[in-house]
Amino acid sequence: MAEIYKLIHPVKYFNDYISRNVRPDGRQFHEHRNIKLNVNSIKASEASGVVKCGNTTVICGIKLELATPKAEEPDSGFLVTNVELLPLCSSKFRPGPPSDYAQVVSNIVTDIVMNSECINLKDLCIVYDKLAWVLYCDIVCIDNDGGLIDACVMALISSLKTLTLPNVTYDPETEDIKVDITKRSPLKVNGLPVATSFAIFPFFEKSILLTDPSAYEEDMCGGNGANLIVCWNKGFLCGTQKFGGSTLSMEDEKQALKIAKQRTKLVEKLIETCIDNESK
Amino acid sequence: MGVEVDTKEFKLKPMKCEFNFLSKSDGSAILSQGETVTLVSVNGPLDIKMQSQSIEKSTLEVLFCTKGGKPSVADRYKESIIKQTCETAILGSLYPRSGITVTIQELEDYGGLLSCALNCTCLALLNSGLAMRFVFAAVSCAVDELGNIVLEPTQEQATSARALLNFVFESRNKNLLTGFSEGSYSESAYEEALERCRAASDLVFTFYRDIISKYSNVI
Amino acid sequence: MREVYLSNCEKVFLQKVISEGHRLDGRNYNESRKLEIAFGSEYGSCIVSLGETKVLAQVSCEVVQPKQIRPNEGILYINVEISPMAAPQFEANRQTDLTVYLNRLLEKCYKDSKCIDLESLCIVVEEKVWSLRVDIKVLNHEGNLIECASIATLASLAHFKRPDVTRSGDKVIIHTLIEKDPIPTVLYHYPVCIAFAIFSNDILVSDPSFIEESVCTSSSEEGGNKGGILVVGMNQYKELCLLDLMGAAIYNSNIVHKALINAADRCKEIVDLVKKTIVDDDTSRQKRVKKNFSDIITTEHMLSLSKRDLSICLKNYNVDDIEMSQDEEMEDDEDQKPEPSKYDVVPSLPQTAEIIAQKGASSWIEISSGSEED
Repeated sequence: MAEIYKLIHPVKYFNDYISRNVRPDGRQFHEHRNIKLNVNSIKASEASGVVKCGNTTVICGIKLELATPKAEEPDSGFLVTNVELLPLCSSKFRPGPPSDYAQVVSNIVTDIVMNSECINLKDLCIVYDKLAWVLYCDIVCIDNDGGLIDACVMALISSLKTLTLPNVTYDPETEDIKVDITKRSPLKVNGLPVATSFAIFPFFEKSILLTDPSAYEEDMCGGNGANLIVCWNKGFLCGTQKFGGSTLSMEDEKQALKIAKQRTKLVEKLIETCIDNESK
Repeated sequence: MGVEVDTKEFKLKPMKCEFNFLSKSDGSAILSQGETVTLVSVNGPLDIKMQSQSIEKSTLEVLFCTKGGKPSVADRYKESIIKQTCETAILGSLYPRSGITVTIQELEDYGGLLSCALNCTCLALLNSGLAMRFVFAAVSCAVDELGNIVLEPTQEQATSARALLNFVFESRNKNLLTGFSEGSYSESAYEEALERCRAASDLVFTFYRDIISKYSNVI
Repeated sequence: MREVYLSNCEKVFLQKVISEGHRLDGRNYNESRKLEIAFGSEYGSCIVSLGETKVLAQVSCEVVQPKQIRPNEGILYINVEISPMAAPQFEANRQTDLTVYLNRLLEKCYKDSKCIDLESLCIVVEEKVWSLRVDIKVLNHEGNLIECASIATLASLAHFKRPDVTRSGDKVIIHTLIEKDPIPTVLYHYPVCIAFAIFSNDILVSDPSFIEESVCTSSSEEGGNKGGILVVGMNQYKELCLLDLMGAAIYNSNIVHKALINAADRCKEIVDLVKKTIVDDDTSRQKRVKKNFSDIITTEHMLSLSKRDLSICLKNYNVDDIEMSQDEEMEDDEDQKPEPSKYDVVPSLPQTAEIIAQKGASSWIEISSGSEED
């Protein structure tokens, strides 16, 4: 019966839940979903992370390659992040070249990592103007049920945290490169940027903030994906993106920042626990 | 920052705008904010392909063209920002099964390109006569190394800044419609920047009102 | 959007008007619309308007590896784009016949006529050459795109200056515009494409408008097409570099002669104007007058507005204020510390950790039954 009701009156169905201060999946407005994090389970890549945020599942794998640095920045390496949204993760995506949305998500994830300055690209340089690391971070979404950016950032950061770089020796005379994969040193990661998504639902005169929205909630709130993404890193904001959906009032905005801060602490603890657990 | 007088004067870049710059579009506007210039054309509601029609609302298509070079992922991101902003502002449900195309052409970029593009889009939409929920104004600001906030930074200020924040406000309650940022900044800087931009958006709204009243008085 | 076709009465009317010696906008057969060239702040960017037809051109350059068959020559690449901005019937990111046609004609006119000294673009033979890329964006399509686009290409190429380079051993240093004065591109000659519309096989109309173009290429009522568009590419020395006919075959060779004579005069005019505007632009740049596309916005217009002094008095935040508020927030955080305990962080399987909401943290309300009652 509820399914039929949902089909016939999609807006009223959702409104009924909201007016009773609960969300269709039984969460409170500001409650987020359970998160599961697993690191280094994919042995084919140098480092990997699997994140499950409710139903949203994202895998990140990092591949290493050596390259010559750009002529303009001879002392930096490269960090290439790419988010792939396969048709299997949602009925909205079609096979073929990356959709506009996938490009936008890639761009936001790259921006968050770059803005938080958690990776210093200069650390990736091995020999000035001659040799540098390229980190290919491929993020694949298996199941998209909202809060995609959160999961992508979390998967990426936890993989970066576990990444170790092999030792490289370079002979400037013969230009000979030797890679010793047995000796490895971890990559320096400063801080832990964590993104938190919100959807903003217009409910009569006021708007309601929904933390960690599911794909269904994101659709109901309009816009493409989450409406508000707040990213904290070491007590600083490193990205506040608000797109589409309803407008955001001052109180809501303050509340969102606060909720995001709390969730960031929790996720930080999660990533640390996970990495401790792995290294044991 | 230091202890200064309670109020201080802030300046926005000079704005210059002309409507109906293009004869073939339903609405067009060219806007310069300081040295940054953009040109926007709006066509719609139009007849579109069956597969992209929506029975509930008009299908909005936004295209961002850079001046030269190949299209990039960053352009898609800009398109997405403008598209989502317009989608909220346009009363799309009045034009079901039709399409609206917004094309933005970058002419000069000396900082604040995206906020200039957003303001220009709003002016072009006003010019095209499409029904809108509200008008919107974009204001950008930079947080410099000392934590000071500079409204509408110049290009040099923008490159040396620690963070760049952009906000788009709607005209009715001055609520935040769209926001995006670069760099990292403290929470207090964010709050302060938001409030200043909110206040400064008034100037942009006045500009809209003046330009519309200038010609609508004649008609 | 689908293309809007002209109605029969529009076609017949226009053909009749033309055959009687008039044109819709009151011009003579041999009269062109007003040509304006505006340069942007960068070298090699300009907007050319021919009446209401507007085209933006931008030249950019980068260092690339040369083609193997021509190891000592630079590369010239021309790219034409027609976005929905030009007219609603064009679709975004899709090549139309018109784009291909314009691209080909411009390539013929500028690449194949060898007007640019490509050898001067070489830096290191077989390794590094300059690649010039001309991006043509059609802003408004009111007819005679080819003439407008070709003037834009010519003006932007002639205006463009590339950064200077110095070679020291293996290294090639590219100087910024501030370090060293940039170098202008060498043009051997200045070719321009001039378009004519041919009506009923003997009337030659220069600078056709959008409606004239569509009438002369479409078939007339009696069936059979008697018109077409003739494009003549010519340089300032009256040398022909391109001839292209679209539409019906011409059986009257006099009309081509007439077109060539007209084109020669028009070419001279255009090239003189291009040269003059570039010289003017150069002198004003030397006087450090800031040039910008914002200059093309007219201020006297009824539909335009310019505001110089946009200032606002805002409250200046005090250091004390901010620190106070930060302190408060700190306290807030302290107060709310116990709250997140709604969730547990647990290491579960190897390499895995979880955040789990504690039981009872949320209360599930069976709402479906409630709404059924409604």
